[in-house]
Amino acid sequence: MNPTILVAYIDAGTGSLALQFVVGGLLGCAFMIKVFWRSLVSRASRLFGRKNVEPAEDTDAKDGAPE
Amino acid sequence: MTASDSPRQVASSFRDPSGFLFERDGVLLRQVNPSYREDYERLLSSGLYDELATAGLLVSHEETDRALAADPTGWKVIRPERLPFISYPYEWCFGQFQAAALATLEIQKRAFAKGMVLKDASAYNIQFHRGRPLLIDTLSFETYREGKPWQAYRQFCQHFLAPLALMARQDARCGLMARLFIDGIPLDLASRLLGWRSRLSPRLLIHIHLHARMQKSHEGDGKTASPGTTSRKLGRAAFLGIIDSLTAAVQGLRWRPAETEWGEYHSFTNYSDGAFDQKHRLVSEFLAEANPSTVWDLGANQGEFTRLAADAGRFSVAFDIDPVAVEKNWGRVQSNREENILPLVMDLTNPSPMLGWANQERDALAPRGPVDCVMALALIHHLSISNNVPFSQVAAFLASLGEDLIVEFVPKEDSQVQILLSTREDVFLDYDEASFEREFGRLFAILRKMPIDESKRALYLMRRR
Repeated sequence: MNPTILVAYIDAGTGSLALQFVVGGLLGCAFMIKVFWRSLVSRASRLFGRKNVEPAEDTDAKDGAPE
Repeated sequence: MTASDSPRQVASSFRDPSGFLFERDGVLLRQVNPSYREDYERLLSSGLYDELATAGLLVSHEETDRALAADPTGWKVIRPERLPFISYPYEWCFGQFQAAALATLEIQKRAFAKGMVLKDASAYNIQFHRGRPLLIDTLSFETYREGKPWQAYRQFCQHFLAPLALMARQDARCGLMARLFIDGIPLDLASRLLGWRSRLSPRLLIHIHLHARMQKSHEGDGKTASPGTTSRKLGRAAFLGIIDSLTAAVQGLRWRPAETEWGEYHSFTNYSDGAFDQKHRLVSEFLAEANPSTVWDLGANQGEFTRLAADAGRFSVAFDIDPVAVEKNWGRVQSNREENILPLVMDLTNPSPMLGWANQERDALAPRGPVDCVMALALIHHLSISNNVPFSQVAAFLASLGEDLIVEFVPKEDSQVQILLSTREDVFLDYDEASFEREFGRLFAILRKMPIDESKRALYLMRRR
């Protein structure tokens, strides 16, 4: 079986692929800043002894600023 | 188990060359083809399968005898856990749609951490099992290749983000559009229906509106040379940034349902407290007598009576036409962590049909049965008076769904029926208890009949002849 067929058995759509290249850089930067910021807040909270600080991964799931 | 019976391929499982589902001797099996060997081995060796199955995000399976393969080319045969009911996105309420979308993205994140990604993001790959969304396609994973964008990005936006955005921002009934557009809502259509205000949301602007525009501007690419996307690389941070942005987009969508008639069920019933308690007791009694393993409660509203079955360990599907009632029911399932109840949106006057390729890909309601016991409480008058369906046809429909039937007859004198008749001419000359019993009696044996106190209603336990 042709592996190129196998890995793309659904139509990814060239426009959809192109969009990922267009916005990927921006969204990637935003993501890195978010991860860095949460890590900073988490460390600071621990440093100043705040209780019940959620780990970065968990707070990530509760993000969701309304659109 | 030996390969005694000829295999029957599951009608919806034909697109992915990695393998397919089939049944042999009534057992559900999945054939894995040689072309998927490398990815399957990575799924297991990376620990991703164990992690997802333990977290209840991926259906568990066990490997079985390769001799059971549906055809000689099969490399491996696995036996996935069989689910008691398959539901479809056009039957989900907003909350279920959102939970399914977030589960897909969570799986994608966990897969990425193990060097794999989802190669598809079909909403049909998600089912609700024990009150939680579950990926049922074990072959949905592929090895992540550095720099490659997400192949399923378009599918995720069409299958999840577009219907969710339309349900949240326009109308919850837009979820039903999934029934029309079986491969997800086209993004150009979603973009038009969402309107200009949704462009103020940066995430919807990117993933719906800009996405639709990019599709349009690249639609002729196939006719010319490569559009230049294949040689470009998408970095890991960018990949994760897109997944993170989609997660925030889905989480950011909210649906605050206005109260509907059925969303406030108790305000719109005419039972006294005593009659309500008695109905509870009778339904419990009839359920104990019928002793079903599976129950479909038709017109279940928020699942008040469905829970009599579910709490006794019977797997129960609670169907209702009203997305508000189903949303509230789903909310109760979530907050109480109920595992035996599945709320779904279903218009019984136009139930889910056979859909998709050759009209075989997605099952209608009846072929997903038969169920052990059907409950139809305070439903008959809506079918026979609001929708003019004769008793004979209601009985035939209910008989096509299951073995036992717990049904409530609501007479014309009942105030709820009077409300239905208040705006129309009473052309229902045969709508009475005697006709009801005569027509249902043709297809069902009436095992029990009990009047409901302080009302003119009666509750029946019947068994299909």
